[in-house]
Amino acid sequence: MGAPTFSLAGKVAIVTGGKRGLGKAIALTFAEAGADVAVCDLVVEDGELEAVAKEIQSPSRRSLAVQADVTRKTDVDNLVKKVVDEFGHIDILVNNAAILGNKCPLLEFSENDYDKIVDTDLKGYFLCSQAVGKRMAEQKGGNIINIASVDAMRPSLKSSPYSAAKAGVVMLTKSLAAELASDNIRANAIAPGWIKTEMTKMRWGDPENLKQLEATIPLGRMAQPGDIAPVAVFLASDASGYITGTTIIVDGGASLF
Amino acid sequence: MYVPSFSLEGKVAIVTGGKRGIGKAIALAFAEAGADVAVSTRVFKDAVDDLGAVAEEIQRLGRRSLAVQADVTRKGDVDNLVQRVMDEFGVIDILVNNAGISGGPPLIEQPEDEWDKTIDVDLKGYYLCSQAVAKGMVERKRGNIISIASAAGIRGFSDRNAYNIAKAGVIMLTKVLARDLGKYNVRANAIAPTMVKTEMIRELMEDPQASAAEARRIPLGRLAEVSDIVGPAIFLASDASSYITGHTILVDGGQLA
Repeated sequence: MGAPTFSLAGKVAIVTGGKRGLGKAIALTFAEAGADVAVCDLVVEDGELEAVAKEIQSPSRRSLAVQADVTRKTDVDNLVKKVVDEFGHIDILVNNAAILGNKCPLLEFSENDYDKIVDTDLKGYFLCSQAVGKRMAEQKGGNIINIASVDAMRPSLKSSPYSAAKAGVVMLTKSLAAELASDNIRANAIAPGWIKTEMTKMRWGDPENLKQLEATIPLGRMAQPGDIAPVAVFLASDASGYITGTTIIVDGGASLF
Repeated sequence: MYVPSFSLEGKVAIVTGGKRGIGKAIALAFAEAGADVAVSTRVFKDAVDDLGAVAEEIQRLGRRSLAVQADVTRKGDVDNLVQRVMDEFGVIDILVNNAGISGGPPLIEQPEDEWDKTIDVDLKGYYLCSQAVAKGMVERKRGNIISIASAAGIRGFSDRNAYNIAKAGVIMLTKVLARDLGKYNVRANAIAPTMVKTEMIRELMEDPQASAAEARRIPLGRLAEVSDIVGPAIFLASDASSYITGHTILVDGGQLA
């Protein structure tokens, strides 16, 4: 029978929000596992995205850095076109570009802030999945991985638009799985708990806050991006060939009960 | 190319119900991924299957193995299994609770003794093995318990009432283990497959029309092979899933999406 190798050799992946944090970790881990990787981000002037692409490049790995606002259909279409022009096909899409937004009580949340968060965190995933999904349907094969959050399962206080958008991502994942299975396209999500990244610094910057947070996690520590990236490799690889429509919770047990 | 974070090199695993089907496939794949593997079964040798042959196959892969007769519903047998593995290998890193039986008939027709038998094997057996193995894992401050549950434990299969209920119990047992044992660096997760082509659904497989109809109900358009369960099992046993605990991974071809 032969055990699976979890290799991504010969596959082409797009990782949105690939400049730093989880997206960067996934892009680099995919490259280590054998994939060619295109990364995109909203802001590229700081040179960080290009640096990630350079880190991926080796004699045996190709990469591409593309500026894209995932909430704009024209940007998304341009991203897909550039990747196809460069690599010829797209096997894996990782929807990761997201914002946490400001903390604010639900009754006070401004419509503008709501729109901004839900546009990025839900519509951005929809637009990218649709554009890449079309290409994958033509290829009769593909794999979409959505970074959701445990906030999709339980409300995060004062983050109602973020929680709602992430819950939407979980259902978008099921819809993609149900509608695209006949084109041999799988779709799954990863729901991380608290990851130590720039985006979550307000929760771990202060040692006392960090201690309190870690006391609520059965495994007793916050996640590092390196804890999540191999989960994405598993879902992207043929080792998960019969898994579609599901969401894998990666939270150290924090959301149990 | 084998992706390093999915390696089981140097680990010792027990797989209950390792004589055939999912258990045998997991035992062999764990060995290929680098683990030494002990397998157990209630009936050591019968006309078609032999646990000793599985152990020999593991050795041919260059690993150590052990075949132990154990009825997982009997605490004496379970304690003996753990003792034998400790004597032989000195450590147990991974337990795969897999030994199970199917369970009909419809609820109102089910005799009490059949209910007891199904719940004993499919739930109490997992409990006894987890308890016996976890004691040592807690002392060693590391370990990993993987329980084969079923999609039937989430959305019941028709006419399998006691089986559905036992498998739902396994999903909650997994959460309880994860929450209680996380602080000892012991993880616990489950895999919930839909119908897998094994002896357990032989009647269905022997009826081409019925099995084709069943496959049509699954978005990916086919019933699961035992090899489909192997990738998720290695993933959960390896460091690639180091921040996942208390979770049940659906492996259902999208059926519950």
